[in-house]
Amino acid sequence: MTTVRRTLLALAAGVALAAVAWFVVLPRFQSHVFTGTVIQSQTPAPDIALATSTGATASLGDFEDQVVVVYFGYTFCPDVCPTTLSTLKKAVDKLGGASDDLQVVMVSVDPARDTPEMLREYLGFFDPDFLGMTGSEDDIASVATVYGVFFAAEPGTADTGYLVSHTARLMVIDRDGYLKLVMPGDVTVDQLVSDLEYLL
Amino acid sequence: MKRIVLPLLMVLVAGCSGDDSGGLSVDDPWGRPTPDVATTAAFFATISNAGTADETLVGATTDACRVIELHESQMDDGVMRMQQLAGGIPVPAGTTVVLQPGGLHIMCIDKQVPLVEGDEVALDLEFVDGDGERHTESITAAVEDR
Ligand SMILES: [Cu+2]
Repeated sequence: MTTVRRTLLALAAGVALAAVAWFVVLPRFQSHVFTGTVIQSQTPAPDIALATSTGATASLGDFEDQVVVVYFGYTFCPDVCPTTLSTLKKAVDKLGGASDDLQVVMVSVDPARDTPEMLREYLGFFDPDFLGMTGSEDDIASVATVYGVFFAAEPGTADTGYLVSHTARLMVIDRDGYLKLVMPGDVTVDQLVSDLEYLL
Repeated sequence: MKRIVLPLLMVLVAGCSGDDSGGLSVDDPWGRPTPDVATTAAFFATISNAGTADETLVGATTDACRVIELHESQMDDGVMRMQQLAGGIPVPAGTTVVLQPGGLHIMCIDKQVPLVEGDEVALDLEFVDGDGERHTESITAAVEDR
Protein backbone atom coordinates (compact mmCIF):
# COMPACT_ATOMS: atom_id res chain seq x y z
CA MET A 1 0.00 0.00 0.00
CA THR A 2 2.65 2.53 0.99
CA THR A 3 4.67 1.93 -2.15
CA VAL A 4 1.58 2.54 -4.27
CA ARG A 5 0.90 5.73 -2.33
CA ARG A 6 4.47 6.86 -2.62
CA THR A 7 4.46 6.23 -6.36
CA LEU A 8 1.22 8.16 -6.77
CA LEU A 9 2.58 11.06 -4.73
CA ALA A 10 5.76 11.15 -6.76
CA LEU A 11 3.69 11.08 -9.93
CA ALA A 12 1.49 13.94 -8.76
CA ALA A 13 4.54 15.97 -7.78
CA GLY A 14 6.07 15.26 -11.18
CA VAL A 15 2.94 16.41 -12.97
CA ALA A 16 2.77 19.58 -10.87
CA LEU A 17 6.41 20.35 -11.59
CA ALA A 18 5.94 19.78 -15.28
CA ALA A 19 2.90 22.07 -15.27
CA VAL A 20 4.83 24.84 -13.53
CA ALA A 21 7.69 24.44 -15.98
CA TRP A 22 5.35 24.43 -18.98
CA PHE A 23 3.02 27.26 -18.03
CA VAL A 24 5.21 29.54 -15.91
CA VAL A 25 8.91 29.03 -16.53
CA LEU A 26 9.03 28.19 -20.23
CA PRO A 27 7.00 31.18 -21.54
CA ARG A 28 9.53 33.53 -19.90
CA PHE A 29 12.35 32.10 -21.95
CA GLN A 30 10.40 31.75 -25.16
CA SER A 31 10.97 34.41 -27.77
CA HIS A 32 7.98 36.27 -29.16
CA VAL A 33 6.23 34.41 -31.94
CA PHE A 34 5.53 36.91 -34.71
CA THR A 35 2.41 36.78 -36.85
CA GLY A 36 4.23 38.68 -39.56
CA THR A 37 7.03 37.15 -41.60
CA VAL A 38 10.31 38.14 -39.98
CA ILE A 39 12.77 39.79 -42.35
CA GLN A 40 16.48 39.59 -41.61
CA SER A 41 17.88 42.82 -42.97
CA GLN A 42 21.58 43.38 -43.53
CA THR A 43 21.16 47.12 -44.06
CA PRO A 44 18.57 49.67 -42.90
CA ALA A 45 15.25 49.76 -44.76
CA PRO A 46 15.38 51.57 -48.12
CA ASP A 47 14.38 55.18 -47.73
CA ILE A 48 10.93 56.44 -48.64
CA ALA A 49 11.31 60.12 -49.46
CA LEU A 50 8.07 61.55 -50.83
CA ALA A 51 5.66 64.43 -50.46
CA THR A 52 3.46 64.02 -47.40
CA SER A 53 -0.13 64.74 -46.63
CA THR A 54 1.04 67.55 -44.35
CA GLY A 55 2.41 69.42 -47.36
CA ALA A 56 6.08 68.80 -46.55
CA THR A 57 8.39 66.10 -47.75
CA ALA A 58 9.47 63.36 -45.42
CA SER A 59 11.81 60.43 -45.39
CA LEU A 60 12.08 57.40 -43.15
CA GLY A 61 14.98 59.06 -41.36
CA ASP A 62 12.48 61.50 -39.86
CA PHE A 63 11.05 58.69 -37.75
CA GLU A 64 14.19 57.89 -35.83
CA ASP A 65 13.67 55.53 -32.90
CA GLN A 66 10.08 54.91 -33.98
CA VAL A 67 8.37 51.83 -35.31
CA VAL A 68 6.96 52.60 -38.76
CA VAL A 69 4.17 50.65 -40.42
CA VAL A 70 4.08 51.23 -44.17
CA TYR A 71 1.02 50.40 -46.24
CA PHE A 72 0.60 50.92 -49.98
CA GLY A 73 -2.99 51.82 -50.86
CA TYR A 74 -5.29 54.41 -52.41
CA THR A 75 -8.32 56.45 -51.45
CA PHE A 76 -10.61 55.28 -54.28
CA CYS A 77 -10.32 51.78 -52.79
CA PRO A 78 -13.69 51.02 -51.15
CA ASP A 79 -13.06 47.70 -49.50
CA VAL A 80 -9.59 46.54 -48.57
CA CYS A 81 -7.81 49.85 -47.84
CA PRO A 82 -10.44 51.20 -45.40
CA THR A 83 -10.58 47.80 -43.73
CA THR A 84 -6.80 47.75 -43.21
CA LEU A 85 -6.74 51.38 -42.04
CA SER A 86 -9.56 50.66 -39.60
CA THR A 87 -7.60 47.67 -38.27
CA LEU A 88 -4.52 49.87 -37.85
CA LYS A 89 -6.53 52.49 -35.99
CA LYS A 90 -7.97 49.89 -33.63
CA ALA A 91 -4.45 48.56 -33.02
CA VAL A 92 -3.22 52.08 -32.22
CA ASP A 93 -6.06 52.52 -29.73
CA LYS A 94 -5.31 49.19 -28.08
CA LEU A 95 -1.61 49.99 -27.81
CA GLY A 96 -2.49 53.15 -25.92
CA GLY A 97 0.56 55.18 -24.83
CA ALA A 98 2.93 52.74 -26.55
CA SER A 99 1.62 53.97 -29.89
CA ASP A 100 3.30 57.35 -29.31
CA ASP A 101 6.39 55.79 -30.88
CA LEU A 102 4.45 54.29 -33.77
CA GLN A 103 4.05 55.98 -37.15
CA VAL A 104 1.57 54.68 -39.71
CA VAL A 105 2.37 55.66 -43.30
CA MET A 106 0.21 55.04 -46.35
CA VAL A 107 2.04 55.43 -49.66
CA SER A 108 -0.45 56.12 -52.43
CA VAL A 109 -0.41 53.81 -55.43
CA ASP A 110 -2.78 56.22 -57.21
CA PRO A 111 -0.95 59.56 -57.34
CA ALA A 112 -3.28 60.87 -60.06
CA ARG A 113 -6.25 60.85 -57.66
CA ASP A 114 -4.43 61.11 -54.33
CA THR A 115 -3.19 64.64 -53.81
CA PRO A 116 -1.54 65.47 -50.46
CA GLU A 117 -4.77 67.25 -49.37
CA MET A 118 -6.90 64.29 -50.35
CA LEU A 119 -4.63 61.95 -48.39
CA ARG A 120 -4.67 64.24 -45.36
CA GLU A 121 -8.46 64.33 -45.18
CA TYR A 122 -8.87 60.66 -46.01
CA LEU A 123 -6.31 59.38 -43.49
CA GLY A 124 -7.34 61.98 -40.91
CA PHE A 125 -10.71 60.29 -40.74
CA PHE A 126 -9.04 57.14 -39.40
CA ASP A 127 -6.36 58.87 -37.31
CA PRO A 128 -4.97 62.40 -37.66
CA ASP A 129 -1.50 60.98 -36.98
CA PHE A 130 -1.56 58.63 -39.97
CA LEU A 131 0.73 60.08 -42.63
CA GLY A 132 0.06 59.89 -46.35
CA MET A 133 2.87 59.96 -48.89
CA THR A 134 2.66 60.50 -52.62
CA GLY A 135 4.75 61.64 -55.53
CA SER A 136 5.28 61.03 -59.20
CA GLU A 137 4.36 57.61 -60.46
CA ASP A 138 8.06 56.93 -61.14
CA ASP A 139 9.10 57.89 -57.62
CA ILE A 140 6.39 55.72 -56.11
CA ALA A 141 7.32 52.86 -58.41
CA SER A 142 10.94 53.05 -57.22
CA VAL A 143 9.87 52.87 -53.58
CA ALA A 144 7.40 50.07 -54.29
CA THR A 145 10.04 48.05 -56.10
CA VAL A 146 12.54 48.05 -53.24
CA TYR A 147 9.76 46.98 -50.86
CA GLY A 148 8.59 44.20 -53.16
CA VAL A 149 5.28 45.92 -53.73
CA PHE A 150 3.37 45.55 -56.98
CA PHE A 151 0.82 48.06 -58.21
CA ALA A 152 -0.87 48.55 -61.55
CA ALA A 153 -3.87 50.53 -62.78
CA GLU A 154 -6.41 48.24 -64.40
CA PRO A 155 -9.31 49.29 -66.59
CA GLY A 156 -12.58 49.79 -64.73
CA THR A 157 -15.98 50.79 -66.02
CA ALA A 158 -17.19 54.18 -67.25
CA ASP A 159 -18.10 54.93 -63.63
CA THR A 160 -14.92 53.80 -61.90
CA GLY A 161 -12.49 54.80 -64.65
CA TYR A 162 -9.69 52.61 -63.42
CA LEU A 163 -8.93 50.50 -60.36
CA VAL A 164 -5.51 49.89 -58.90
CA SER A 165 -4.37 46.38 -58.07
CA HIS A 166 -1.77 46.51 -55.35
CA THR A 167 0.15 44.46 -52.81
CA ALA A 168 -1.86 44.77 -49.61
CA ARG A 169 0.83 43.79 -47.09
CA LEU A 170 2.02 45.84 -44.14
CA MET A 171 5.76 46.52 -43.83
CA VAL A 172 6.98 47.07 -40.29
CA ILE A 173 10.25 48.94 -39.78
CA ASP A 174 11.78 48.65 -36.31
CA ARG A 175 13.18 51.37 -34.05
CA ASP A 176 16.63 50.91 -35.56
CA GLY A 177 15.33 51.56 -39.06
CA TYR A 178 15.48 47.97 -40.27
CA LEU A 179 12.65 46.28 -42.12
CA LYS A 180 11.59 43.74 -39.52
CA LEU A 181 8.20 42.32 -40.49
CA VAL A 182 5.92 41.84 -43.44
CA MET A 183 2.32 41.23 -42.41
CA PRO A 184 -0.65 40.06 -44.47
CA GLY A 185 -3.22 42.74 -45.26
CA ASP A 186 -5.98 40.82 -43.49
CA VAL A 187 -4.09 40.66 -40.20
CA THR A 188 -6.33 40.94 -37.13
CA VAL A 189 -6.16 43.76 -34.60
CA ASP A 190 -4.87 41.40 -31.88
CA GLN A 191 -2.16 39.94 -34.11
CA LEU A 192 -1.03 43.43 -35.05
CA VAL A 193 -1.05 44.60 -31.42
CA SER A 194 0.94 41.57 -30.29
CA ASP A 195 3.72 42.08 -32.85
CA LEU A 196 3.84 45.86 -32.51
CA GLU A 197 3.80 45.74 -28.71
CA TYR A 198 6.85 43.51 -28.83
CA LEU A 199 8.70 45.87 -31.18
CA LEU A 200 7.74 49.08 -29.36
CA MET B 1 -61.65 11.66 -44.60
CA LYS B 2 -59.31 13.18 -41.99
CA ARG B 3 -56.48 11.13 -43.44
CA ILE B 4 -56.76 12.93 -46.79
CA VAL B 5 -57.34 16.46 -45.50
CA LEU B 6 -54.14 16.68 -43.48
CA PRO B 7 -51.73 15.78 -46.30
CA LEU B 8 -53.68 18.10 -48.61
CA LEU B 9 -53.26 20.96 -46.15
CA MET B 10 -49.55 20.24 -45.90
CA VAL B 11 -49.16 20.38 -49.65
CA LEU B 12 -51.00 23.72 -49.74
CA VAL B 13 -48.80 25.19 -47.00
CA ALA B 14 -45.63 23.90 -48.65
CA GLY B 15 -46.79 25.38 -51.93
CA CYS B 16 -47.18 28.81 -50.36
CA SER B 17 -43.80 28.93 -48.60
CA GLY B 18 -42.11 27.68 -51.77
CA ASP B 19 -42.77 31.07 -53.31
CA ASP B 20 -39.65 32.42 -55.09
CA SER B 21 -39.05 35.61 -53.16
CA GLY B 22 -40.08 33.93 -49.93
CA GLY B 23 -36.97 31.77 -50.06
CA LEU B 24 -34.60 34.69 -50.31
CA SER B 25 -33.35 36.57 -47.28
CA VAL B 26 -30.78 39.32 -46.91
CA ASP B 27 -29.33 39.46 -43.42
CA ASP B 28 -27.01 41.75 -41.53
CA PRO B 29 -26.47 44.40 -44.21
CA TRP B 30 -23.73 46.86 -43.24
CA GLY B 31 -21.08 49.23 -44.47
CA ARG B 32 -18.04 50.86 -42.91
CA PRO B 33 -17.98 54.52 -41.84
CA THR B 34 -16.15 56.29 -44.64
CA PRO B 35 -14.16 59.53 -44.90
CA ASP B 36 -16.21 62.38 -46.36
CA VAL B 37 -13.68 62.92 -49.13
CA ALA B 38 -13.83 59.29 -50.18
CA THR B 39 -15.91 58.92 -53.33
CA THR B 40 -16.39 55.18 -52.88
CA ALA B 41 -17.67 52.82 -50.22
CA ALA B 42 -18.73 49.20 -49.89
CA PHE B 43 -21.75 47.43 -48.47
CA PHE B 44 -21.87 43.85 -47.27
CA ALA B 45 -24.58 41.35 -46.33
CA THR B 46 -25.39 37.67 -46.05
CA ILE B 47 -27.78 36.48 -48.76
CA SER B 48 -29.53 33.14 -48.24
CA ASN B 49 -31.63 31.41 -50.82
CA ALA B 50 -33.81 28.79 -49.11
CA GLY B 51 -36.08 28.62 -52.14
CA THR B 52 -36.05 26.13 -54.97
CA ALA B 53 -35.21 28.63 -57.72
CA ASP B 54 -31.74 30.02 -58.38
CA GLU B 55 -31.37 33.75 -57.85
CA THR B 56 -28.83 36.29 -59.03
CA LEU B 57 -28.12 39.67 -57.46
CA VAL B 58 -27.83 41.84 -60.55
CA GLY B 59 -27.72 45.36 -59.16
CA ALA B 60 -28.73 47.83 -56.51
CA THR B 61 -29.87 51.40 -56.14
CA THR B 62 -29.69 53.83 -53.26
CA ASP B 63 -29.86 57.57 -52.74
CA ALA B 64 -26.49 57.31 -51.01
CA CYS B 65 -24.57 56.54 -54.21
CA ARG B 66 -24.85 57.73 -57.78
CA VAL B 67 -23.93 54.32 -59.12
CA ILE B 68 -23.62 50.87 -57.63
CA GLU B 69 -21.58 48.06 -59.10
CA LEU B 70 -21.22 44.51 -57.86
CA HIS B 71 -17.58 43.71 -57.21
CA GLU B 72 -15.23 41.08 -55.97
CA SER B 73 -11.90 41.69 -54.28
CA GLN B 74 -9.44 38.85 -54.56
CA MET B 75 -6.10 38.30 -52.88
CA ASP B 76 -3.56 36.78 -55.21
CA ASP B 77 -0.03 36.30 -53.79
CA GLY B 78 -0.53 39.27 -51.49
CA VAL B 79 -1.83 41.44 -54.34
CA MET B 80 -5.38 42.74 -53.95
CA ARG B 81 -7.36 42.93 -57.16
CA MET B 82 -10.90 44.20 -57.46
CA GLN B 83 -13.14 43.61 -60.41
CA GLN B 84 -16.69 44.21 -61.43
CA LEU B 85 -18.94 41.16 -61.69
CA ALA B 86 -20.84 42.09 -64.82
CA GLY B 87 -22.99 38.97 -64.56
CA GLY B 88 -23.98 39.75 -60.99
CA ILE B 89 -23.62 37.60 -57.90
CA PRO B 90 -25.33 34.19 -58.23
CA VAL B 91 -27.17 32.83 -55.20
CA PRO B 92 -28.17 29.30 -56.26
CA ALA B 93 -31.12 27.59 -54.59
CA GLY B 94 -30.24 26.25 -51.18
CA THR B 95 -27.05 28.29 -50.75
CA THR B 96 -25.85 31.22 -48.70
CA VAL B 97 -23.51 33.81 -50.16
CA VAL B 98 -21.59 36.10 -47.82
CA LEU B 99 -20.58 39.55 -49.00
CA GLN B 100 -17.68 40.61 -46.76
CA PRO B 101 -14.51 42.73 -46.68
CA GLY B 102 -11.84 41.34 -48.97
CA GLY B 103 -14.41 39.52 -51.07
CA LEU B 104 -17.78 40.13 -52.66
CA HIS B 105 -19.21 43.60 -52.10
CA ILE B 106 -21.79 46.09 -53.23
CA MET B 107 -19.59 48.95 -54.42
CA CYS B 108 -20.80 52.50 -54.01
CA ILE B 109 -19.44 54.93 -56.60
CA ASP B 110 -19.81 58.70 -56.24
CA LYS B 111 -20.96 58.55 -52.67
CA GLN B 112 -23.61 61.25 -52.19
CA VAL B 113 -23.85 61.36 -48.39
CA PRO B 114 -21.45 61.03 -45.48
CA LEU B 115 -21.42 57.53 -44.02
CA VAL B 116 -21.11 58.05 -40.29
CA GLU B 117 -21.12 55.43 -37.54
CA GLY B 118 -24.73 54.77 -36.52
CA ASP B 119 -26.24 55.88 -39.83
CA GLU B 120 -28.62 53.70 -41.78
CA VAL B 121 -28.63 53.44 -45.55
CA ALA B 122 -31.64 52.19 -47.50
CA LEU B 123 -30.77 50.06 -50.52
CA ASP B 124 -32.92 48.28 -53.08
CA LEU B 125 -31.27 45.07 -54.19
CA GLU B 126 -32.37 43.77 -57.56
CA PHE B 127 -32.54 40.05 -58.10
CA VAL B 128 -33.34 37.95 -61.15
CA ASP B 129 -34.65 34.44 -60.55
CA GLY B 130 -34.21 31.35 -62.70
CA ASP B 131 -37.17 32.33 -64.90
CA GLY B 132 -35.70 35.75 -65.63
CA GLU B 133 -38.23 37.35 -63.31
CA ARG B 134 -36.95 40.54 -61.65
CA HIS B 135 -37.76 41.42 -58.07
CA THR B 136 -36.49 43.87 -55.50
CA GLU B 137 -35.46 43.31 -51.90
CA SER B 138 -35.35 46.49 -49.83
CA ILE B 139 -32.77 46.49 -47.06
CA THR B 140 -31.37 48.92 -44.53
CA ALA B 141 -27.61 48.77 -44.07
CA ALA B 142 -26.12 49.76 -40.74
CA VAL B 143 -23.05 51.96 -40.87
CA GLU B 144 -20.65 50.38 -38.40
CA ASP B 145 -16.91 50.13 -37.89
CA ARG B 146 -16.42 46.39 -37.56
CU1 LIG C 1 -15.25 47.35 -55.43
